[in-house]
Amino acid sequence: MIPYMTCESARGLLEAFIDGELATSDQVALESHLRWCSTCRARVEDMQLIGTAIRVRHEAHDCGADDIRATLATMQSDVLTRVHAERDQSFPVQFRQAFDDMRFLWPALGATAALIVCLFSSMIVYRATRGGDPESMANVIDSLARAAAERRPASLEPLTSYYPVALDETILAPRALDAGPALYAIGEDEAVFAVSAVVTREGRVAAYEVLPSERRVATARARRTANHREQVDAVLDSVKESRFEPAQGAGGGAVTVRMVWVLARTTVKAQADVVAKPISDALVPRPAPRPARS
Amino acid sequence: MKNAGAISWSEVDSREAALIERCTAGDETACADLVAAHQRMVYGLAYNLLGDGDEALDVSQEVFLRVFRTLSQFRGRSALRTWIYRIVVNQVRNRQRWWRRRHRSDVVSLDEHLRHFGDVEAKREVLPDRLLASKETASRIWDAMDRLPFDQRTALVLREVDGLKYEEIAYSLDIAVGTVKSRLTRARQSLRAELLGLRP
Repeated sequence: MIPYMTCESARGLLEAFIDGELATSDQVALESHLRWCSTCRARVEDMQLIGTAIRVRHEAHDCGADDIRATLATMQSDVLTRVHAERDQSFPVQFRQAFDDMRFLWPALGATAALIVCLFSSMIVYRATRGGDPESMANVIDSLARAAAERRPASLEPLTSYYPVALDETILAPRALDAGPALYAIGEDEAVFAVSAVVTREGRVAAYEVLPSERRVATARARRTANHREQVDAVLDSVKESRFEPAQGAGGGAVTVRMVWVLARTTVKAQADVVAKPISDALVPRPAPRPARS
Repeated sequence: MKNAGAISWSEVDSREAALIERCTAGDETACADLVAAHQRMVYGLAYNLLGDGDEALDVSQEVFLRVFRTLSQFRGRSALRTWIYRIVVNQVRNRQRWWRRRHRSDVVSLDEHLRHFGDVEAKREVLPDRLLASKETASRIWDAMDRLPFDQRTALVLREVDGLKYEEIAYSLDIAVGTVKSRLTRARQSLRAELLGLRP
C-alpha cells in the first residue's frame, strides 16, 4: 500500500526527486502524489525546464563554436609544453611559485611563533629545574662524588692489582672497626669536609684526599690559610688512622671500593628548660603503694 | 551532518589509478591522455561559471598545471574527475576575486554570449520544443543564472550540467551535503521566480 503524502511533505522532496537522490519508498510515494496534485507537478515541470535551459546553454556553447573546438585541440599540447617547461625550470622560480598561494600564510606564521614560544618556555623551565640549589646537600654530594669518580688512583697500583669497584646495592660497604674518620681535632663549631678514599681488600685506607667543592674552588685562594691547612691535615690524619672491615662483594669475597665521606659537625642551640621538662608523666617515679593492713 | 569527504576509495578504478601513477612518474603520454580525457569537462565547467570563453580557456590551462603539480597528493578519496572539479572551482573562484579587485563585471550578457557562440535559434536542433516556444524564457533564465551568487551557480551547474551527485558536489565545493541542498534550493527558487514572472 502506498502511503498518502501531503503537498507540504511532497514539496520538501521535489528537488531530491528531480536530482534522483530520493530513497525508493519516498520516490514511489511522491510519484503517487504527483499523479493527482497538479500544483506540485507544475513545480516539478518548472524545475525540469530550468535544468533543461541550463543544459541547452551548455550544449549550444559546446557544439556551436568551431574555434573553441580548435582551441581545445591545442590546449593539450600547450598544457604539456608548460608542464615540461615547469619541470625543467630553475629552483628559484619553483621556490617563488611555492608561495603563490598565500591563504595559509598568517596561520602558518602564528603556528610557527607559538612553537617557538613553547620551545623557549620549555628550555627556560628545564634550565631552571635542572640544577636545583647548588648549596643543597644532594648537589654537594653529587658533585663531590663525580669529581672523585673521575680521579684515577695512581697511588693504588702498588697496593693491589685491582682498581676499586663502584659501590652498589650488591656490595656490603666497609664498616669502621674503630671510631672511623671524625672531626674531633677541629676546634671550630661548624665544619664540613668531603673526603675521598679507597678502602682496599685488606681494610687499609689509601689514596685519601679532601675534595674541594665547586663553591670552595671559586674561593680557593682565600681558603689557603694556615688554619685551613691544619684542619685538612687533621682530617686526613683521622682518615689515615681509621681501620675498616673490607667491603664484601656479591660472592662474599673482599673487594676494593672507593668511598666518599661527608664529615660534618654542627651545633644546635636550644633552651635548657625545654630539654629538662619530662616528656611524659609515665617517666615520673611514683611512690610504691603501701600494703593494706589487715 | 554528512561528511563531504565520505566518498570511498572504490571511486578510483584500477585503470585510473594506473594513469595517475604513470603521470606522477613523469610519463608524458599518460599526461596527454589525462588532459584529453578531462579537458572538455574542465573547459565546460569553467565557461559555465565564468561566462567568458577566453577566461575559461586560460583557467583550464591553469587547472591542468595545478593538477600535475599536486597529483602526487591525490589520495583517492574521490574520483579523479571530482577532484579535478574541485580544482576548477577553486581556480575560478580565485579568478573572480582577481576580477572583483579590478572592478570587472563577472556577468556576461546574452548578446555577448550569442556574439561569441551563435544565435540560439541557429541551434534549434538541441532545444526542446517547450523551451523554444519562447526564446525570451530561455534568455531570462540564463540572465537570472548569471546573476546568481557564485556558490549557488556553481552548485547548480555541477548538478544540472555535469550531473554530479550531492556528495560529489559537496566534495568539489568542500562543504556539507546539507549546504549543497540548501544552495540548490535557493538557486532554483530564484530561477523559478524569474520563470513565474514571465507568465501572465
